[in-house]
Amino acid sequence: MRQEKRHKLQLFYDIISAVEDNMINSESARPTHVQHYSRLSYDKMLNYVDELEKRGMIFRDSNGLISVTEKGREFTRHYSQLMNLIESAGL
Amino acid sequence: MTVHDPTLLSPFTLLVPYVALSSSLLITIASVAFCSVISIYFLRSYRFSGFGYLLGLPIGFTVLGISFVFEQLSLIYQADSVLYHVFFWIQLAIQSEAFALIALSYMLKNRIRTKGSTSYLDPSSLLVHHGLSTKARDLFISILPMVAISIPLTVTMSALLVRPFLNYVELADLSFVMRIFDMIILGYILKVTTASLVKAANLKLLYIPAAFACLWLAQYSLLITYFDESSIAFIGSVSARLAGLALFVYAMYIAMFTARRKEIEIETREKT
Repeated sequence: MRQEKRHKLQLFYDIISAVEDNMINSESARPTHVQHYSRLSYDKMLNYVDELEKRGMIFRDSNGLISVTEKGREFTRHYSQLMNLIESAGL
Repeated sequence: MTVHDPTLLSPFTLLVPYVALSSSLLITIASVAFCSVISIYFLRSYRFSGFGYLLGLPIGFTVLGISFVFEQLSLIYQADSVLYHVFFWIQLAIQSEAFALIALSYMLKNRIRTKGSTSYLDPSSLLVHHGLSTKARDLFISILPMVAISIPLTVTMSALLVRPFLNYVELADLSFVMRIFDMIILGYILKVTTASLVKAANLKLLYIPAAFACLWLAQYSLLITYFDESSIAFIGSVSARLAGLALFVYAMYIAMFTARRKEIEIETREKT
């Protein structure tokens, strides 16, 4: 089945949500877990993770484990509000 | 009831002057407030996401709010035949332009969907894509937004170029044509939003088609007022307009509130 092309914001949201999802059980998320949930190739996922880290939305420790910053949480909140708004407008 | 205007450009003139001015002022303030709230929400969404197709909504609702201000100005200057006509003409032109801009968002979004739905890996879709009818449809989809945007300005400008000083009857005829245009544009948005509602099968999405149906009804009631000078139809038009805008604001509030509630639920789940 062909997957619909995702917008960059959607990919950011998917990655941060994957990290947040894993953070329910532990302090941080493993990159393989994030890759599995975000349905991206490992290289692409790492590129986006780098970009998110530069933007201060996620934090990577010395072991490569990923955690979400407050800015990242704020992004997911705004993104879900935006998607709800667009959906409710019938767009 | 005092009728100032035989062809009824502004149905507020059906009412007693002081009642007309005060009631129209309240209705204008409410309408402008609703339009401003909608514009601000969508402008913030556009600034956050950068989705170009969203831009039609904040600009459209801002222009719609401005058109209500001109409607009020035309009523204030109803004694001055020049200003009354000028303000009424501006209101007609920009109100139709506003609806066209709102429709533009839906047209552009549909164009993105149409492009995105074609799979180039599938040979059958490749054959269909190169068919003449599909090319014609693509061309039509590309041209339609430009046509929709240009009609309100070209029609109103050409009416003014043909006769620089439009009289009551000519303005009333122009008003009739623009109301028909508004109804077509709002009908298109209603169709698109209803299709989204059916596709998503989500009752939460019912508010926006209902809001556009109210705005369509407002234009239809104005047409009835044009033909039979009925104050009941005019009151219905104003009520439908306010109900439509209020429903739009309510739908947006529900959308934002639901997102916030989900966020709180997630935070609570994380803590427990």
